[in-house]
Amino acid sequence: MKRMNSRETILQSVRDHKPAPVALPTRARTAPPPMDVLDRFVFHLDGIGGVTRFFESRQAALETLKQSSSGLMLRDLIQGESTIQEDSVTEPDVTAVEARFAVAENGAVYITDQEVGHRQFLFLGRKLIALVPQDALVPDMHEAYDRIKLSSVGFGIFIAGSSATADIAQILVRGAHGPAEMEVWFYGQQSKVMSAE
Amino acid sequence: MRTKHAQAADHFIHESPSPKAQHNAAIHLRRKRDVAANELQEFEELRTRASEIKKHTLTHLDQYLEEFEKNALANGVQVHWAVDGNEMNARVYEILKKNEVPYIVKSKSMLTEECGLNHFLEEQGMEVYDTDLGERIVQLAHEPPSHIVVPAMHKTREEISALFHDTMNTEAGNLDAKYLTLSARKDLRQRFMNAKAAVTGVNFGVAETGTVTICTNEGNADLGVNKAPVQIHCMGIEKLIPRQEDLGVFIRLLARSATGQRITTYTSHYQKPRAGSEMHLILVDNGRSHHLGMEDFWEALKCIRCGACMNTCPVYRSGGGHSYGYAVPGPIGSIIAPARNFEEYDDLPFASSLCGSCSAVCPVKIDIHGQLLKWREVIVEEGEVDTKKSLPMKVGSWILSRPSWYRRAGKWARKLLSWFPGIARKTVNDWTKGRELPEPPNESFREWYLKTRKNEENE
Amino acid sequence: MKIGLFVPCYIDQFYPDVGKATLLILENLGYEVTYPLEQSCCGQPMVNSGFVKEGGAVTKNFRKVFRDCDVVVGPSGSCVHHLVDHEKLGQQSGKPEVYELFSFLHAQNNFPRSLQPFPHRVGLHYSCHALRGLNIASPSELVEPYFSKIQPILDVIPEMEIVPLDNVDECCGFGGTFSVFESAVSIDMGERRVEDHVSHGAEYVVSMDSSCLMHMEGVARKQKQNVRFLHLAELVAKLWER
Repeated sequence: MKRMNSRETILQSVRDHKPAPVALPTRARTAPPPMDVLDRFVFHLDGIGGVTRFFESRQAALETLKQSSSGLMLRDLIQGESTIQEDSVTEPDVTAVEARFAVAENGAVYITDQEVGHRQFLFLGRKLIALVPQDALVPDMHEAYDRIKLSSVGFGIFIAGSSATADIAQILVRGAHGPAEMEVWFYGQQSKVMSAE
Repeated sequence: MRTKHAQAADHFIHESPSPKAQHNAAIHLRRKRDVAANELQEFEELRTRASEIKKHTLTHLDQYLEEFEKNALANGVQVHWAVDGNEMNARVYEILKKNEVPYIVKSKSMLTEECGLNHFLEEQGMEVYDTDLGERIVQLAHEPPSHIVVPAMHKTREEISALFHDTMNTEAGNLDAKYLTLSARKDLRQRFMNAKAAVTGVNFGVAETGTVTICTNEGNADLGVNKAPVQIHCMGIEKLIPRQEDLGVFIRLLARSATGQRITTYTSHYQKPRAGSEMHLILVDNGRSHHLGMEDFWEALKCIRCGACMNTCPVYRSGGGHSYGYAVPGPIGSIIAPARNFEEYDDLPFASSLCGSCSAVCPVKIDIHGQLLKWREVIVEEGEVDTKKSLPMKVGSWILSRPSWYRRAGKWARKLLSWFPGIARKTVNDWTKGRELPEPPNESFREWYLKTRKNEENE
Repeated sequence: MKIGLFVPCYIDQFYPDVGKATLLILENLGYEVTYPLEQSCCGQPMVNSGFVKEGGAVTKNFRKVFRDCDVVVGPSGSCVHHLVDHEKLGQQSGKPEVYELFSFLHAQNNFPRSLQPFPHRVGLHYSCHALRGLNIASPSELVEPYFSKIQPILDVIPEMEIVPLDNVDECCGFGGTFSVFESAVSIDMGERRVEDHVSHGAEYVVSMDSSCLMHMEGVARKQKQNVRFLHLAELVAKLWER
């Protein structure tokens, strides 16, 4: 009863007070980037302390991951469903995840809860590795949002670099709460700008 | 009208241990912002578009609120509405009590600052852990944030080191920022791991998808929300945008304007709760719908809380964030605060030199300094300005609108200055504290003109 | 073209040389200039403090005094900005059109061809109202190609070196009554602004607004800083005479 009242009170007050309607603007034109998309991605990820690596194929990337890491593979990265229970591993060393695509203008990768079994593991490890097909690279956030469909997932996230803070005297410290390191592993053919789906 | 800001700023400049820290930190962010902004040829177009999208949303806010609610409900989100801060606090507490939550982990939210959520929950015996490092620092120091993006901007490493030693038993005198940061991380990590509820603010609510968008660099909001079985998002009703595609515009602008980053480390979109957990969304009015009806001031609601106007504002950088006495300091706070509580904050619109830099950096093109000026007019009309300030204005106007009186007054002012500099200095005490008075010339321009040109003129 | 010379009140009383310099520049560039003797103030100090009615009474005198002029030119970005932006002179409320001196020269594309050398290091202070209010140059906040309407003047002054500044277009902290009612902040801002110029070796600080200069000079003299303050019109006139 009370809840209904507050809802109606607020909506009515908004109706009573809202100014004369303003139209939605048409879509902004995006200036063509001066740099190749892949170069831009590498440049920006490097600028925020991340590392980009390249592999011939997804298989090659997975092999490297298997050999080198003491970490946690999310979902079906290597074989079938993840067997990790949500509460079984608290602080993994390395978390690896498949990302849907990467964004050139800011070094971000996009991941949804369809790629990660348990969302929390994205934030718990010391290092996060995101595997991305090299042809899955968009120039900017406009195209990024054209590619995704938020309504079809419970959770979607852009991650650019490592968890960071400069709250103490503007000194940058990585690993504020989440991973201190971030790597993006591209695999497959030399990238071309993806067109919107 | 009060003069709280002037006094508090004076105190900050002369008494705080490190008055320059805030200036240095803020101007550093402004410079980084310039680099990131100049990278985009379309930056000004993005600002215009962001402004138009926000104006459109605000002028259709009831429809978008209903659409947002409908989609969030369909996603399995529990939606609550709060007319004011008290109701928001009560609603949060109710959820926590029902779930027998002993403490909460909380990420940055200026809305909960505005509504005093921490204080309220603590009064009910609930522990609150602010998890953003800057917010944790000011929480441990029992202070409010001094900046909306960098809450402990005013604090030096020395102060933070001593504070952490006292509260977390870190090594005395260790000034290493990494050591201090990781100490706080360790201390909070156990709280995260056992948390039963997490509370966050919201950067953008997307009506089309019912999405709650949260931007952080530390990942503290995500860690809290994705670990705890109960997640609560507190959102001011003005945070809505219509569509998913509009996020492209705002995400490109937000971090660039705030810190010069191209994007925050984490940009999260929450649609549905995790299996077996609860997701609550509290839509809070607390004066916003009323503010929407103020013809000259409603556009302040476009604000996306990037803090760029604080970083660029020389008054903010000099006087510090606490001098404003409101949850949102700086130029934007000075136009929002009086719209919400006129009696309490009617001095803030005067805490500006009207240089206009705030309006020029604002990513959603709020005419901040125009509104500051307009507020002054309103405050004068309401008769809130004391005689010390209004009398000189009235006398000045009377004299200056009468040329012969103006000339007489000008002459006497010059004579007073040159004959009795001591008296002149005392008369304008507030000026001469840090400045000398100009050296008066013997004759005015007009006197010189009459002497040298009078034969050529027809007067 | 008949030009009405507007000498703002504080320039009339405290900086008459700026008025003389303005007159000289306009006449040297071939304009017929009239100086209406009954002028006083533009009304800005009141309006900027919220006293719109009181400011309007003063502006009324301005309108009356200059009613026969097509164009009014004055050496103050701040006062002109007030008349144009707040009182809407030259727009919906009709003539006269009011120009800040250098914006006028730019609009006319009429600049001195050459001036005497000025072998000094100069810090430029674009006043906020001239910059962000009247668009005399591109402000540092906006992403747009750089421009400055005073560049053609700077270009014809040989041997003058413009010093770089940390904050190219930061406010000096004057702000009218702000300087008195927020004196601590105002002084702090002024000190920071002067320090930026001095630390970069400026011997002179040059601006198109005497109010900023008065503020910064007041701070610099209090601090016994070895730097001088000149209105750009004064500098140009000084290098034009003889």
